[in-house]
Amino acid sequence: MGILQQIRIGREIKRLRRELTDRPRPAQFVALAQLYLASEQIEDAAATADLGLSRFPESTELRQTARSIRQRQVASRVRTLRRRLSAEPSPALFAQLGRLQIETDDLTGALESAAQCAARYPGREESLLIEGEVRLRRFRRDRVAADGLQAARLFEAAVRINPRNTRSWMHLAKLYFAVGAYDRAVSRLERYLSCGGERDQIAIRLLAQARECVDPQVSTDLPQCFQRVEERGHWVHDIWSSQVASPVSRRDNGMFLALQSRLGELAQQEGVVRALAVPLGDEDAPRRDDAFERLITQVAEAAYRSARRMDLGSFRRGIVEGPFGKVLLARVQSVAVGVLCERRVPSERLLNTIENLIASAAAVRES
Amino acid sequence: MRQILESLNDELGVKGSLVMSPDGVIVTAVLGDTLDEETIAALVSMLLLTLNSGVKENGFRHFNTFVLAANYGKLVVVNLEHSYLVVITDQFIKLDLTRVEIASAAERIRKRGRLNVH
Repeated sequence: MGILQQIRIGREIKRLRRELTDRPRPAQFVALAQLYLASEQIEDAAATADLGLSRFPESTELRQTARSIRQRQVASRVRTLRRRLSAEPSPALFAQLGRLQIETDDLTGALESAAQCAARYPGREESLLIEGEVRLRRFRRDRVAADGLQAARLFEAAVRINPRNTRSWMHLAKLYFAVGAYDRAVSRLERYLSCGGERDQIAIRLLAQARECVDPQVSTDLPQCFQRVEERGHWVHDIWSSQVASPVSRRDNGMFLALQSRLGELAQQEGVVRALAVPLGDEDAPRRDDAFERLITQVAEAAYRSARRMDLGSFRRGIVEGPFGKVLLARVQSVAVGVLCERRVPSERLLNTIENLIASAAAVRES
Repeated sequence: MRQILESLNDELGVKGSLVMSPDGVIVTAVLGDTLDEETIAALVSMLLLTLNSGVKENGFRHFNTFVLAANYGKLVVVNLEHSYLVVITDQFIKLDLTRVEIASAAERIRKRGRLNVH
């Protein structure tokens, strides 16, 4: 980049920053972040996008910009790590590389890093941890029991090598809690807390919850627990999307209320007749009296099961068209959203909006 | 009918298609090696049972098409009144474009108006 261009970008950055102070708008955050990117100031670009998202969490454009900046950030870190690995390799560097690859969904690359690490450092826990996290990621995404079981085996092997590996203990505790293997979750949380996590308030709360759930009369059949999650398509406890393990049946959590309120606004749009969110896996819920709610729940669950058995992966979206108009369905984690609308409403655009609403509601819960 | 399905399968991204009765009996199927027609028909039949009962319960009478999009593929079911056209595609396909071909195939099958159950 020439000096003149640098000066021009510098001036434009100053102007946009002034404008943002006076009257912040999502488009200005995006423009500023892109200018930072153009001048290779990736960290400033990321900070701008994050700031914008904290003010406008529902902006699709900002979300996409933040995602692409994050990818650039990670790609640059991966390059740096590879350089360092070729100069002075170590198990810790392999672990860092593997984690970054997992973060960018480069699961094949992460498995390759795990294999290289295992070949170079046999008997170390890092390669097991990387592979375990790949399996865990896949289990969380696809709910295939074999992946979950394999992740558990790898983390168990990692803690046998290094019993003070808190990361593995926590993965195990969450994994077992999510599939309802409470007795195992309790013992792994106890080990986690005794190995340096004693101040972790989330772990302390989890432990209390897990202890309440343990039934001493029932012995845990681990493969069956994982299999049950695969068949039903949802967690026994939704540990992954919240800091506290809220049973998926709860409709009164912040995320669900935030989503309902946003769907209320969506239902005001032209052509939209009704919009409704339903928590899935709500086995303790009273019978659903609303026929539309039953339609969403039953079709989302049947579609999930059918898609899995046809090897199509996890069900994400559905469109039912008829003389009545359209019913659009979106499933994200343990929530299904159904929207009844007129046929002229563009399906893809509305489904994108619904998925963004679910994502921003989840962000509310996490904050 | 087989020819109609074969020509539909030539579309980019279409992995296979079949025509089945509401209770899962296959009329004609042209599926690739990786897809098992009996399994697909049984699963779609179960799905239709749920879908039809939900649609009727809501007073919607019937549905014309159902699209299921999953991580690794899509499933399109077209209601032919006495039978269903089922199309399986990959995840990349733009349904807006291919649905014209699917609707055209459905119309040609509907015109034939007879079921040859094997």
